[in-house]
Amino acid sequence: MGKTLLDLRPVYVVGIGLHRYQKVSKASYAELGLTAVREALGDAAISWSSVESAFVGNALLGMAPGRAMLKHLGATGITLSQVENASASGSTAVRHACLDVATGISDVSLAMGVDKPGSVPFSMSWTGSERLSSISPLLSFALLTNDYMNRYSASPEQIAQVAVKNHGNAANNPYAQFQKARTLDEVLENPVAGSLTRLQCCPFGEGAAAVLIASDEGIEKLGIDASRSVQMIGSVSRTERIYAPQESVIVELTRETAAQAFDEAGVGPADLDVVEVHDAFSVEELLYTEALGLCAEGEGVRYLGEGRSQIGGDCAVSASGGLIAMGHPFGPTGVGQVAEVTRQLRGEAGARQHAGARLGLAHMVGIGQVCLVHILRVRD
Amino acid sequence: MRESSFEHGGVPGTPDCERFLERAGKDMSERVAKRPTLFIVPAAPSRETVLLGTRCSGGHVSFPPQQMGCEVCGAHGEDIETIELAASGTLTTYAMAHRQQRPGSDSPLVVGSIVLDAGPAVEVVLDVDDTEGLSSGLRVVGHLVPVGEDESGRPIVDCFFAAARPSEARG
Repeated sequence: MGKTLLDLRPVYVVGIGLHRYQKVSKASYAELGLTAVREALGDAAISWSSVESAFVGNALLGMAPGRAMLKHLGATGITLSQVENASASGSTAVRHACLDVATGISDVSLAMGVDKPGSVPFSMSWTGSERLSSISPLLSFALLTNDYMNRYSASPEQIAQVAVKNHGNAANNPYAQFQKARTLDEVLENPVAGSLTRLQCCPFGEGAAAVLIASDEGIEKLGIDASRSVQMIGSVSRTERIYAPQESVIVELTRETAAQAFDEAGVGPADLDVVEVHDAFSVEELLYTEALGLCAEGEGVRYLGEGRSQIGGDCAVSASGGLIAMGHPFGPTGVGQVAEVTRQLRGEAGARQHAGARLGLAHMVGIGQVCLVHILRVRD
Repeated sequence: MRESSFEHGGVPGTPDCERFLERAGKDMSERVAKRPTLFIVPAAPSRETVLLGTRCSGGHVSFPPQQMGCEVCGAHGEDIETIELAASGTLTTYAMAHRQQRPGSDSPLVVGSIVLDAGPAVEVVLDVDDTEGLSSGLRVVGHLVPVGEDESGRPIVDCFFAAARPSEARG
C-alpha cells in the first residue's frame, strides 16, 4: 500500500460548473462541455490560462473529443488526458485531477465530463466470450429489485419511494434533466421490468459537468476565494473481486471501496451529511445506503421511510435528484456529483440545501465492476 | 459436472472443440445451436442439455467458457481446461420484462438469475409464459428451444431455463 490522498499535499475543489442534463438535442458535445467549463472558471474566478492540466471523461463520444472542444478556450499548451471508465468516467477524471495536484505536478487542474449518446461500440462484446442471453442492464436491475424485495420483505411501493424523494429533490435543481416532483402513484405508473417503472430508471440524456481542483499554492497564487473551497480528503477507485454467487457484485464492491475511502479519510458513515450515489435504478439507493454503512443491511427501506435520507434528515442522499432524476449522461455524472457535494458543503444549494453540511461523499459504479468513492469536507 | 470428452485445449474456437461440436451437433433433427460456444446440442433430443465451462488448475469453475485466463488466479494456457457443466441450478430471483418478448416467441420475456449446480451464477431467459409458479429456490434446468431456422431450414435452438420436472429436480 502506497500513499493515500491525505498523505499528499491538500487539494480543494475551487470551481464548479454544469450544463443542464437534458434530452438529446442538436447541441454539439463541445457546446455542452464549454458551457460547463466556462461556468467553473467563472465560479473560481480564474482564467483558462491558469489551468495546467485537464482530464476529460466520456464514454460515448469515441476517440479524443477533448482537444477539439477545449481548444476553443484558447490553445494554452495544457496537458490533456482522455478518461474512459464507463459510467464512472467522470469520477475517474476527478480522481486523476486530484492526484495531479496532490502530487505537485500541477497547481490547478480541470476534471470534466461530457457526453451525448452515440454509436460507440461496447468493447466487452469483443472479448470473444459469448453470453447465454442478452440481458440488458434494465433487466439485471429488475432482477436485483426482486431479489431485494424477497430478501428483506420490501414492497414495490416502498422501493418506489426512492424515486419520489429524488424527483422531489430534482425539482429544485436547475441542472436536472427532470425537474418535476412526482407522487407515489405517478412513480408507480408505466412498468418496464419487474416492479421497476419508468420513473424509477435514470433517463438517457446529454450534459456536461466540470470541477476545478487546486492546491493551497494555486489558491494563493491566483487569489481564489479559499472560503468557498472544499477539501477532497478521500479518493478511492477499486474493481471487483470474486464474491459468493448469490451476492451482488456492485454491492460488495461498493462496500469494499467505501470502507477503504473511510479508512483513508479518517471518517465514518455516521459523520456524513450529504451523499450522492449511483442510483440509476431505485433499488440501488437502498442497497448503497446499506453498503456505505448509513444504515444496517436490510434497513434501507426503513432508513428511507423514516425520512433519514431526505434533505434535512440524518444524511441527504441524492439531494441533486440523483441519477434517477438529475440524470445520468455517463461522462458528466460523477463530476456532477462532486459539484453537487461541493455546492452543499459551501451552503450554496438554495432550496435543496441540507443545512449544516460539512462532510459529503460521492459514489459511482462503472460497468458494474468499477467503483469510485470521493469524500469531501468543508475547509478547516 | 463431467469431464469434457474432448482433449484439454478443446476450447470454443479451436479445432478440438470444432470436432467435438461437430460430433455432438449432428443430432437426428440437425438442430443448430444459436450459441455453439456455450452449449452442446446433444445427439439425441432426449439427452440433457449440457453447458460448456472452464476450470482452472486451482479448481475454480467459470461460465461462460474462455481460455484467456482464470478470473480468480489468472491461470491460463495448459492450466485451464474446458469442461461440461450440467444445465441445472437454483433460481434466486426473476423478473418479467413488460415491453419485450422472448426471442422466437409471442410470450413475454421473463428472465431469472440462477446459481448453476457447478457454482457460477448466470442470468438466463426462462421458458415460461409468466411469473406464476416461480419462486426463489426453485430448481431449474436448461432446455433447447427453437428460436428460428438457418439458411438451410434447420432449426436453430437456444438454451432457456424452466422449472425442473420431479425427475430432474435433484441437487
